[in-house]
Amino acid sequence: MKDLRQRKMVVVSGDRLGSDLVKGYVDEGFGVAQIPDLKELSGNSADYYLSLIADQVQEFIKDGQQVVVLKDKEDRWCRRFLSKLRRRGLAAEVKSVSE
Amino acid sequence: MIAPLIEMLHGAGYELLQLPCPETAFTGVSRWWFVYEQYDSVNYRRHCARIARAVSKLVKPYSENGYDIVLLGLGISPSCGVRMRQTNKQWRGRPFDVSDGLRSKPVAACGSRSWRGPSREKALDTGSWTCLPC
Repeated sequence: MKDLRQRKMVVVSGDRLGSDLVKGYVDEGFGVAQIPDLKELSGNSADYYLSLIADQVQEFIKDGQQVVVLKDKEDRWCRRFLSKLRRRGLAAEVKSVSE
Repeated sequence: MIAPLIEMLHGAGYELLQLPCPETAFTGVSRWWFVYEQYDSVNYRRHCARIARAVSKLVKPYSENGYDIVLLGLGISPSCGVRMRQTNKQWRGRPFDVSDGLRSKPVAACGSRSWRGPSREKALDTGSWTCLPC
């Protein structure tokens, strides 16, 4: 059976999903994970949701896959997500959305 | 995510909320050919219920404000299939004998703590323990 799963992942803030930058990554064969706007969630729930995304990123990295996080300084959920990755010692490639 | 689908939805004025993959978060990316019955455990149900609660909190404000909400999912998946799921009560894994391909390695964590104390119970109480081979 052919394994159709993508072997690279890019993590982006929710409102950038349709951007040309993300489209470029998709064209290069990246899978996409979204950090949504979590303002409707309580602190604990938001933290849980970010942990859930971090869990998936951790599994991708453990599997030796390339993970790129598109850093959006203006997005607090993106900042919190990145600090979560740092606390876990995960070596994701971080690029600014302005690059 | 499927790029043409995203473009089509954006073109139609939809915002997108990607749902976390419960299978990846639970079993990682090296999972292989699971069926529904293998996922159907107390802990996996708890895991999915927690995700569903968080997602519904995210979606609720949109619903309350009259947004048209569409759930898109895989046609077939052991635990996320919209129309179908792979199911087999007898299924245990890949369809051949795996014994030749498996290697055993010592587990480092077991040797990192020493057994102290007169009894296993006491050792467990103090957190100082070691694993014994079965």
